[in-house]
Amino acid sequence: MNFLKHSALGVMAVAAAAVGLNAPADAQFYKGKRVNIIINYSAGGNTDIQGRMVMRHMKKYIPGNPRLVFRHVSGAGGTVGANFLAEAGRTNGYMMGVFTIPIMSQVMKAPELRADLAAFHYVGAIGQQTISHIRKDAIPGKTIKNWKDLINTDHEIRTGGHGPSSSKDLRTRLFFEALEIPLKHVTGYKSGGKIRAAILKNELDMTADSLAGYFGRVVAQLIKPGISVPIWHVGTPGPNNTILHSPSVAKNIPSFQTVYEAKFGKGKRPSANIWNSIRTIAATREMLRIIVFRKGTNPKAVKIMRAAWDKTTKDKGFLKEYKKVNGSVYTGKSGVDAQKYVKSIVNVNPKLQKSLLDYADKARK
Amino acid sequence: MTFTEAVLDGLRLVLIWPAPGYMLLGVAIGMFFGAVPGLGGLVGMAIILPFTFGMEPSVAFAFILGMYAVTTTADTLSSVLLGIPGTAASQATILDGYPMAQRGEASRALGAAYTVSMIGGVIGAVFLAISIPIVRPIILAFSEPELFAMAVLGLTMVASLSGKSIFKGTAAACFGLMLACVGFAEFGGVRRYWFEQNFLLEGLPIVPYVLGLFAIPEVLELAVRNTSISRVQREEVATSGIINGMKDAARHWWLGLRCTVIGVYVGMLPGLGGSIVDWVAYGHAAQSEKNGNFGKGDIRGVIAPEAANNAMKGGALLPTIAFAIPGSASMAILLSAFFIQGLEPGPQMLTDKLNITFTLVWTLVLANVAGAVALLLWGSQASKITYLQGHIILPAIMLVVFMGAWVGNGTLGNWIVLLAFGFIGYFMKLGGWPRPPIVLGFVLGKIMEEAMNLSMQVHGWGSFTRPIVLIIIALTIITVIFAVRSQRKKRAQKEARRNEASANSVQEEAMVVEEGGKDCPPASWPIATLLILVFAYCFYEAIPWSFSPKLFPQTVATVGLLLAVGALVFDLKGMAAIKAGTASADVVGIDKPYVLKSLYFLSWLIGIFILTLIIGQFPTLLLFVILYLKFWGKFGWKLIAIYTACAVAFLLIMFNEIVPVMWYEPAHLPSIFL
Repeated sequence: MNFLKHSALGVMAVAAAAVGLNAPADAQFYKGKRVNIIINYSAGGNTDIQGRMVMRHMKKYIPGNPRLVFRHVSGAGGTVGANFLAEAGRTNGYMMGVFTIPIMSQVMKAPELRADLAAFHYVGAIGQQTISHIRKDAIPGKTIKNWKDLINTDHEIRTGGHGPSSSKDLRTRLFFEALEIPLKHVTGYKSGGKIRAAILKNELDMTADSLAGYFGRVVAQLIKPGISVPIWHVGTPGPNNTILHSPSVAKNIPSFQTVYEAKFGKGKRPSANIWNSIRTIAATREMLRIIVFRKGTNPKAVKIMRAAWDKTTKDKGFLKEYKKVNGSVYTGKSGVDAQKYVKSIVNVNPKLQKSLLDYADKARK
Repeated sequence: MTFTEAVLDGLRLVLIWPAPGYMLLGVAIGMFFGAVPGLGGLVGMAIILPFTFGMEPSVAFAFILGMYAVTTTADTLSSVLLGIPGTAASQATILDGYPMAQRGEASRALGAAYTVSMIGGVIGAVFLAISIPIVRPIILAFSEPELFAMAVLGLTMVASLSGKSIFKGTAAACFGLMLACVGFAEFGGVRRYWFEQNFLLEGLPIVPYVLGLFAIPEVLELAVRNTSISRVQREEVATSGIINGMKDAARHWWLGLRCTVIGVYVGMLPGLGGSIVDWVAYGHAAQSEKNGNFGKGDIRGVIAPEAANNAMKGGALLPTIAFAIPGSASMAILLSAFFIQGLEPGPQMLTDKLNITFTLVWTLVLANVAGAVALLLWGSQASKITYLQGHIILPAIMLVVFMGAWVGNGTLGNWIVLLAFGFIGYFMKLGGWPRPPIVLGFVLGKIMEEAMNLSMQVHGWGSFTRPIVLIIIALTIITVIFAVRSQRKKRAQKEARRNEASANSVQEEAMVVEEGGKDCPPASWPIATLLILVFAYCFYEAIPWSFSPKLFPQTVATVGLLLAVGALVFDLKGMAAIKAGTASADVVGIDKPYVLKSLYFLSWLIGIFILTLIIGQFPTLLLFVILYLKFWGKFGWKLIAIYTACAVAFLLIMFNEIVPVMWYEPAHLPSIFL
């Protein structure tokens, strides 16, 4: 018994010493250094603004107070920046990526994505739902007040997207196909702003935006002036083949599953291909923005940054500012959880992958 | 709150401390970001936005808009003095601004530019103030088909930018349109003309591309001829250049006002804005002004784009404030600032928050005045750079050019683009190919393809029967007719002038050569051949793509191919004429020693690229400075040491502290910058 007691005390002492020795070592790692941060969208976009905001708070918890230098490597739906980090990034721990994760490109094995997203070292991730909204006058002779006024229509709804394989396009088309609502989908808009402008001009009826975009732009531009109403959000994948209401979204904006069941009955699902595709897309919303290192990065750097991220997500100032910028509470993952989660998303079965690819191809003209 | 009360309250808010202090700080930062090529207002706004968290709205907007307002005033400095566009909005300014500097009239050009910039900026702001309630129908009436038609109208400016050969000008414009197709076409899911290069998926980076086309040829000339930028001595130039420029601005007030209106309206249309406003204004001036000497240092060629590019900013604010439609990335950042301040763009900005709207207006007015006054006071000092010996300023220019090309996304690919287009630009200049149409084609190509694709999806063929589109089509036809007539008239005048050529005019022509002004078939045919190969390759490469992503490039390639073949035929005829001794005075042969020396210097620039791969970017740039000063300039070690120390300070302060970049450092060497 004594032996066990002494052994335990010994282990604790060694661990304490290790922690004690580690703390100054951690502080030395980034002291006087600079960390280059790659952002995979252009300056001024949601990724840039949110990324800079997050890193400003996280900096407080990085021992050694390094200097953060931002660089935008944008293009091809975020894949250019991801490729850059994976291929040209350094492994010394002084280069990170703050990305909007181009996960559908990996799920669909898009050739423009050369990086393996699952191979990055994850420091943390932020989840972000998307909210769909529609013009109130999208159905002639009727004013749409909420989603219930939409689901039984046989009038063609005009929607907009960025490209056949973009998450926004796939999601919108899948939702409408599942709900059996006629759709005219226009694709090729360079930005969400251009789609919203088209809605304002009554050339389109509907689109979806991330929470940051919804509260930052859509509310002022379309909701408050009485042009559009929110209808649904994607939701969070739950157990038993379900998609649950996300805690970051108000109760009166239901998840897609609620809307679907309201039309077709409790427990009903569309074809397995469509439902699994929607669930995969829903899963990607759980870690829309990621903070990552390149594969093979110094484990010490990964450990320090993960600890800093964990502290950041408990920081009251960060949580308050996050809510102000995004209009919702923070939801996200630690680095360890994000690492596991990304593997579960990208490893979709080949049948589903082919079905998504074929679905995207159908929209190419 | 009444309208008048809102106006006065807006002014009061801007004048309450610390708002004026932050506005002036913003103006100072904006002048810096405008003057250094490659930075610009967008980078500046992205950097200062986080500092506005926690500020009062009037203070935050004074800071942001103070910076935003003056970048297009300060960008004239490098456009006029160095022939390098400071920002995208001052590309057209170099066409006449730089030849003026070569004639020793840099301060006159700057005086005129700053004066019209100030007036344009103030009028743009006033327009913003009075238009908010009435502008809705105009903005909402402009959709993708109208944008497409506007871009086609913009393309007709090629005629006035083509110099002597409209054939070459149009082929060059097609080349620009073709280059706009490089990158990932998201709407078709196709990677176009990217040569397996990751950085090209985003499209050809515009800053290195423009720097290569315009700056490298000038740098080559400075290095080889070792002249100053100004071809005349300082003593021969009027000392009151700035005042003369201001008088020029007053004399051409009607042109300035017209271009201000163009600036406001083009700025108002989301999707057009800063990248083309200077070209549209320049084209308008070249087409509408009588007795023009455009491209050779006509002051009106400076006044037009500079009035427009500042006025554009008031116009661009309109859709952002009134409808939350950001017309550009800078405006998207401003929208974020609105949200951070708890403000929502839209009707409330015209009612409850009208006073805040007027703080924006007043900030634009005051910042434009402050920026222009500061630059007017400083302009004649800055223009002294044009009298310095070529060898002494060249290393400094090269640092700005290479770092300007690097800043955007910091990849070595940017330097490849810079050098490749430097090479092409040099032979184009030598061979009488006009370069501005390439830039115009590139900028418009991106707008045109997207607008065409969306127009067809949303409106089908009905796109072309919309009332505003029909009006723009009519305007396009009228513009083309006028352009053809004006070209003919110009040719006739030139013919007449040649007949009664005076010694003075001959001397002037020799001093400054207009874009596309002289034919040099031995230097021109390689460009024509290159374009033929490019167009043929682009057509062939696009064959397997689906309909949407190949429609635009294949159409452009077909037209471009025909034009390039035509240009080659003319070149071959010209070469035959030179050989036979029957060539006209406008057709010249090649100056072999000059070209060989230029190519030798170009090999030094390629050397910078190769050495960077081996020892890293920072030491290579410094080594270039030292070696150039020693072997080209033949300067003593004392001067070299001082110069190098200044270069170190410049690079470190500028690109390591103020706008920190990620330096390229080879993996096999320890890092200097961690």
